Amino acid sequence: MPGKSKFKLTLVRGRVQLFAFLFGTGIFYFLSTLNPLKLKQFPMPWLVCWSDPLAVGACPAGSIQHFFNTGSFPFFAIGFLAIIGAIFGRMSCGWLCPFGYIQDLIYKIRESTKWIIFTILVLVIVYLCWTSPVFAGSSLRKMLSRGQMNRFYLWLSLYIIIFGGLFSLFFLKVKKFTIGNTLSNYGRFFFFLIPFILFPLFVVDPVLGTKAPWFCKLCPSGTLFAAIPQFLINSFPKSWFPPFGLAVNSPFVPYGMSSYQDIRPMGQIMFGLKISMLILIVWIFTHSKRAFCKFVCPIGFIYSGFNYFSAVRIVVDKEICKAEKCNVCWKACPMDIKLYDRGSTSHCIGCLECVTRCPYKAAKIVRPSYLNWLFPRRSFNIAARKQLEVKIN
Amino acid sequence: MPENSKEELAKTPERSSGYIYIIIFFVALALLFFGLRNSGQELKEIFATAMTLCLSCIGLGEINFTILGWIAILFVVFMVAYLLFGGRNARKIKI
Repeated sequence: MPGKSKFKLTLVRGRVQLFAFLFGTGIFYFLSTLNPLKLKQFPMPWLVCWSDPLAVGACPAGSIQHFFNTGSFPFFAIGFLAIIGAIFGRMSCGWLCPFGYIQDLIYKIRESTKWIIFTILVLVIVYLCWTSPVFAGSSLRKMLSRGQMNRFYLWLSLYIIIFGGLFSLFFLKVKKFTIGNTLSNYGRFFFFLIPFILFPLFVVDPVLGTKAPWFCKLCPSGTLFAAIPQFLINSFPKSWFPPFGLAVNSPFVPYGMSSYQDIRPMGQIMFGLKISMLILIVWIFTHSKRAFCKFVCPIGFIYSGFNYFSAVRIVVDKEICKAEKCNVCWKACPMDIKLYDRGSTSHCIGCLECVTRCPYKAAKIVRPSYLNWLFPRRSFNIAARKQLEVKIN
Repeated sequence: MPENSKEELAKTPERSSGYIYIIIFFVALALLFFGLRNSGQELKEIFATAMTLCLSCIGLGEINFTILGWIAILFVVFMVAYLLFGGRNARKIKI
């Protein structure tokens, strides 16, 4: 029965993604500093901010930029990503990346339940504006406690205009859109070349007096996984949290498990810009599949080069494929790509949805025979193909 | 479609993974071991950085708007380049 196998793969991928999400950003955080492994010394094969209080490993994008900042080459991080890429291509984006999982979830959530995401975001932003300076120079709470009523009302109105304007996007009736392959190539090439490679290599930040990881300053994964949890955690006494691994430390104390400083008053204009960008990008996620992976992610860009020759990859047999007449793969694809299109290879995240669903078996997994146990051969789905042929004709 | 051509399609040969990935794999392995030289110095550096709160990641401190402006200008340049040279797809942005 074709429906059963579709359901099974989606379910399996969902579970793997959930496990990777919990592993990378959740319950296994204690492994980050636990000897002898100390996982935080290893870059993970996915994009997750290493300032996430629950991050189990290091961020590959952050690691690479750090070595560029210091003027050295990140041999280990690049070698590690290349090993994963040489074997699995971009599959870790589709199966493991926590930020990719979040994007999948936000896109999949039904129209009727989107208000849940909206409400959570609004509550978080209200809390952040209440406790942090954001754009104002001091928090709303502080203004109120000091009796600066005029200033309080002024900034309250400005926040309503700024964030209310951004949130109003959620009420616009905008059709779901696709970011084309060419546009996303230009976008991700820009984010890879400028804020990820050239600026960390050559541009000194006058504020810090050193070179800086410029991509991190723009990264929404950092805002979602690190900034917001760090600010929320800072609302509670440190003694409430287990002492090991959890990075609720002072930014000015290296390895600083011994010191604790409230970071909430330090969130200023840059923080305001980051949370504004997060609102915008969450809105985009509700309308376009994996927009960040397609248009921005530098780790995805690195992996995508391996998609052309990796040991495991998906290819399409163009002689069998019905292309526009069928489009089953396009509808199923979490990256919103047409597998048969020229230029879509580098965007494929190897989720295997198209391979399972293609009624013509035109989408195939290429893999070495020693990996057959992991990707078993699939029988030809004649029944589903017959149904589709009737539909097309 | 005749039954025998269905069978032919079903029997289409599997493509091989080739050998490039093996070369890349060993090059990557060499890079990885090179990174571990001096008893894992690179790993120590990554660990030290990972254990320090990244100001840029969580948006703390001040930002230099001149540099941010340059990034924005370069982004516009890339998007203009897309509109000029992006080919037929440039006229087909579906929003």
